[in-house]
Amino acid sequence: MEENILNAGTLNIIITTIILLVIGIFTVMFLFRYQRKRYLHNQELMEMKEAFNRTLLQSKLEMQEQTLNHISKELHDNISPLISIIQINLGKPKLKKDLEIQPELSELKANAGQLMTELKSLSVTLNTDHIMHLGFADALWKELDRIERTGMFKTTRTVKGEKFRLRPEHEIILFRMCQELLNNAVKHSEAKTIAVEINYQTDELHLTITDDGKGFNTELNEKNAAENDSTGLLNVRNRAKLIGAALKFESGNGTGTTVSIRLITHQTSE
Amino acid sequence: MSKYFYYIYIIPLFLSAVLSLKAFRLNWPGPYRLLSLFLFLTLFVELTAIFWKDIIYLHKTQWWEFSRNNMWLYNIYFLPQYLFYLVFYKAIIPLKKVKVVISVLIIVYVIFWLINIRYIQGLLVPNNYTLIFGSLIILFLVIGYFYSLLVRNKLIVLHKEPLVWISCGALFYNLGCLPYFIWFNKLVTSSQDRAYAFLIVVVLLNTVMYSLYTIAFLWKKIF
Repeated sequence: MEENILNAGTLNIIITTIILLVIGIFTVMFLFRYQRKRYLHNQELMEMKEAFNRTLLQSKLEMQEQTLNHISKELHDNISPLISIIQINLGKPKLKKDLEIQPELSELKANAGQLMTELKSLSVTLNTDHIMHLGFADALWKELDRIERTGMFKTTRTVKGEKFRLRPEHEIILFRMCQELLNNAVKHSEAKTIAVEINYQTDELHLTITDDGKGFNTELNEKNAAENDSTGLLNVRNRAKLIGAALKFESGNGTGTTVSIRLITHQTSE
Repeated sequence: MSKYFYYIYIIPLFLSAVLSLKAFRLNWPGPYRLLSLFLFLTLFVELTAIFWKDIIYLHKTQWWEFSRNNMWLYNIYFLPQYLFYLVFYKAIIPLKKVKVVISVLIIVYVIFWLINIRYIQGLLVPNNYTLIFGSLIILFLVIGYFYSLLVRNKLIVLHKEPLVWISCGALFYNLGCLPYFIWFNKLVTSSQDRAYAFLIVVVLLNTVMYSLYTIAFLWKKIF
């Protein structure tokens, strides 16, 4: 009888121990599974947020492109004809008879011609279709031509590797990034020379823009961007993010600036 | 079965204590350094308890002679043991309500330990009431910690968190030993052999617990 009670007690301990340990194991398993679910859910949320930001940025850039296109067409369709009319009027025989105003007239004609050239060039660089038609590299060389025509800068261009075309949207975005960077060099760097190098590698494109200007503190510039209302570099960074390009600034006071862009490409034939 | 098998848990205990020194070397937060000290204290108590009644028989030397019973050592050790867990989890669980409950438990536990060792079970009898109370406290602390993990906003990778391994070790040991502690008195009065045989469960669970503590200190967590 006593032995039976003892056996029952022993069995009770064993069963309770096993049940409690199983409960413990299930508790830990539940914790791990729940945490994993939360982790996946969080990751999903972050991806959605990222996708939303990308869409937002893309829409902003598309709107920007549309505006630039519109300005380009306006320049081409409305302003250019007006300059042509001015040029025609300046060439009228009535004016040619007045010898006193001939020197000023010649200068005016030259100015109008130069204005026409610059306007056409500007219109071309603003026009998305034209950039797509020319291709990124040629459009960039045209932009450099335009800068050189100001007479204030010397430009050098280097191409390495076998040239290939990028995806159309990548070409436009990359071109706009270069435009912004060149614009910064022209406006702020006080440089004399601007050098651009495009290095075509297998499935990768390396682009560097170097100037010999006064340089700047990259970290400080980025920090003060919001305060100074300077969105130039921020735009460049956002655009780089959108096409998945790696962007690197190397600059310091008095040492010039080198901007490197590295883009993984999906080659399309020329 | 060799009597030395009952001392197998000393190996993972020793390993976890040595590895816990990492908490000082890598400047881990205070509670982990406290855990390291606690592991060394545990190792000291366990070795003293073993050497007291076995191997070198510390209870009987040329200078003194005491009873071979080493329960007094464990009964005294129960105070710092459970107090350590209370202080450790109080520092780590960020939930205010749980912290308040822990503060109350610290006072209640000290009073309970004192009354039990002085007036109820005494110094030389296994204080299983203290063990039951202590185990329930640890289960509450571990559940409280797991709950805090579920409700916190910041996600952590569980298997890389030393505290998760420590909590799992404490949970399995105390859950598994609780039935034995509860039925201990009945078991001892009816069959001492069977009560002794059940010690193997405690030894195995101790081995599991200290192995999990060792794993906890193997992670190269940066705090």
